[in-house]
Amino acid sequence: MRRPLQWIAGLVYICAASAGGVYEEVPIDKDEWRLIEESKDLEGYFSAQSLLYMEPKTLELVRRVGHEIRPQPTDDYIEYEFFVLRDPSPNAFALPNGHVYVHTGMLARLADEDQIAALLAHEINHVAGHHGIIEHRATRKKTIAGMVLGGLGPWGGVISLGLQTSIYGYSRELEQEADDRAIEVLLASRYDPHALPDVLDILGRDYEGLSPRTSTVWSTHPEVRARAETSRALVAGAAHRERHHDGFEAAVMAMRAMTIEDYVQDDFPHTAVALAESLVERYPNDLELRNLLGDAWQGMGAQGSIDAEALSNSDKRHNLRDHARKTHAQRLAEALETEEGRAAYAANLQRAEETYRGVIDTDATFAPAYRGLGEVYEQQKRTRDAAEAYLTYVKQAPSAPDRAIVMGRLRLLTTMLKVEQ
Amino acid sequence: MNIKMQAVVTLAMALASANAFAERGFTDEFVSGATRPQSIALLPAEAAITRAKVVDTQGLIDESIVFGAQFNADVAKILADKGYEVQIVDSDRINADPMLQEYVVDAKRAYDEMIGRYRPKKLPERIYNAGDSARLLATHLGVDAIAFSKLSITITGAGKAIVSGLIGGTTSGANSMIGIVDGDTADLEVVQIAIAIVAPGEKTPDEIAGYVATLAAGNTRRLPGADPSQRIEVAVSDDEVLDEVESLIKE
Repeated sequence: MRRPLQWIAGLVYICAASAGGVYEEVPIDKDEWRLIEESKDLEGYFSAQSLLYMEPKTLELVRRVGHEIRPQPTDDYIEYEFFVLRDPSPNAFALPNGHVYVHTGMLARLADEDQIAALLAHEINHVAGHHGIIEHRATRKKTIAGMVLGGLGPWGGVISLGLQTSIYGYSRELEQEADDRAIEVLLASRYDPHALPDVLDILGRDYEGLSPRTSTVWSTHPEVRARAETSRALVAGAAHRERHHDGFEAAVMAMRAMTIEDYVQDDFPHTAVALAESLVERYPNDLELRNLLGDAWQGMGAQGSIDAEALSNSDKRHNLRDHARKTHAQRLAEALETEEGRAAYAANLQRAEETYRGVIDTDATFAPAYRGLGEVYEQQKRTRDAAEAYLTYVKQAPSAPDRAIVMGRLRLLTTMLKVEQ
Repeated sequence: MNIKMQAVVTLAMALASANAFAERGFTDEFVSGATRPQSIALLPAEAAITRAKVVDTQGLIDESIVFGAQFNADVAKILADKGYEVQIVDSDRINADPMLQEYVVDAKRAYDEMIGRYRPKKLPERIYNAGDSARLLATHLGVDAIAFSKLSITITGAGKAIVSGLIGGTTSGANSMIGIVDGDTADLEVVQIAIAIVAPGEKTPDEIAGYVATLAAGNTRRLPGADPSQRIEVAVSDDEVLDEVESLIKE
C-alpha cells in the first residue's frame, strides 16, 4: 500500500473510532442486520470447522457465569449466549448479536470463577454498548480505510470488516469503556471486582518473547499492562470479596491439560512449561499434569530460558518471523550447531526424563510416562532404553490410540538395535 | 516500460512461476509410488467466500460451508476415478464423535502451523511434518493419508472492480490448495494449488459452483493415480516386532 493512503486510512480510522458506546436501544438498518445475521452464521461456521469446544463442564461454567452477570438485552437483535472456542491463543470476543466467544487459551490461564466473570463482564459491555454497531457505522464512513483494511487473523478471509473489530479489538476508548463498565458489573454482582486487574495481569505475561501473530485487545503489550493499572486504580477502594473456586477447578482441569498439549504441539513450549509448572505446584499428586510437564520440557527442544522483559520489540518481531518461517526441526537443527543450544537441549531432556521418572516412581503403572521416556531416550540416542520404554508402554496400554505410532517407532528401533549388535 | 508491457511481463512471470511450482508440489517418493496412498480421508475444506464491496468485505459464511462441502465432493469423485479409496470426513461426522473431533482439530492446527512455513523447494527434503496428531487421525480413520484443503473465492461488484482498478484493493478471483499428509509418517507429500479467473460482477450459486469445480479439477489434475503395488507396506506384525524387541533387549 502506498504510504499516503496508509496515513489517510489511519487518520480516518482514529477519528471515526473515537465515539463512545450507547447503552440503550439502538435501531439498526438493513445493512446492520446483515452484521447480525453474519454474527449468527459464525456459530455454524465454527461448528463446521469443529472449533466449538463442547466439553459440558467447561461450557456450563462459562454459560452460567455469563448469564448471571449479563444485563437485559435492550434490542430484539441481541441474545446473549456464551461459547468456548478451541484455540490456544489468549483471546475473547463479543459479536453485535450478543454471542460471546472465549478461547480455551484464555480460560486455561484463569484461576477462579471471578476472573471468568471479569472477562465476560468486559465482553458483555461491548454488546450492551453496541460497540460493534458503532464501529461498523464509523467504518462505513471511512471509505478509503475500508478498502485498505481487512484480511486480519486466522478467520479473516470469511469475516467481514464490520465484525473484525469485534474479534480483534475495538478502539482504545471503547476498550477502556468496556473495562470501566466491567467493574460496575462486577460490583453489582457477587464476584470480586479485583478480578479484572488480575485477568489483565495474567494476560500481560509474555512467556515466549514473540510479538503476537494476530494482535488482539487481550494480547497487545504493554497496553494490557496499562489497562491493568487503570482498572487496579478504579477498584482500589472496593472491598475484596471471597473468590469462587468451588467447581471451577473440576470444570476447567481437562481443558487446561488439553491447552498445555496444544502449546506443546504448536511449539509454544515456554507457555506450556509455565502453565504446567504452576499447575503441578498446586496439584503435585496429579500424575497427568506431571506427565504433561515432562512433555512441555521435551517440547523446549534446544531453547533456553527467555527473559521477555529484556527483549526489544524488534527482537520479538525477529523471533516471530523465525518461528513463522522455520519448522521446529529446522530451528532445533540450527540451535544444535551452537554450544549454548546443545547445552539447553541436554538440560531440557534431562528435566523431561526426571519428570517422567518421578511419575513412574509414584506409580509404575502410569503408561504415558513410559512413552515420554521413550521419546527422550530416542533423542538422547539411547536406542535400547528407548525400545524398552516403548515396549513397557505398549504392554501397559495395549489399546492406546497412539499404539500404531509407537509400534512404528519400535520397528525403527528394532532395526537400529540389530545394527548396533 | 509502459504499463501494458509491465502487465505482460508480470503475467508471463506469474505463469512461468506457477508452472515451475506445479512441477514441484510432490515428494519424489510420492511420484515413485512408495508413499502414494491407496486410501485418503478428505477433511472439511476451509472455505472462505467473500463479496468485496466498495466500503466493506462481506463474508458469505453459509455459502462458504456449502461450497466447501461441494469442493470436497468434487475432489472425492476425481480421486475415486483415479483409483483411490476416498473417505469424506464431514463436520456432522466429526461433531458426533468427540474423539474424532479432538484428532481433527489437533491435526488441522498442526497442518496449519506446518503449511504456514511451507516453501515449495523444500518439499523433497521432507522437513514438513504434521506430527503425531496427523498420525493419530489417520489411524483413527484407518486411512493411508489425509488431505487438507483451503478454498477462497472473492466476488467483487462492478463498482468495486472499478475502484480497485483505479486505486488498488481487493479484486475478484478464486484459488485453492490441497495438501496431502502421509498417515504413517505425517510427512507432507503433496501440495497442489489451483486458481480460477472470476470476472467482476455478482455471481449466481451455479456460477460459484462452476468455480469450485474448476478449482477441484485444478488441484487434482497432476495427481498420479493410485498404485498400491508400489506402496511400501510394513509386513511384520505387531506381535512379531514386540517379541523381537524383547529378545534384542535381553541380549
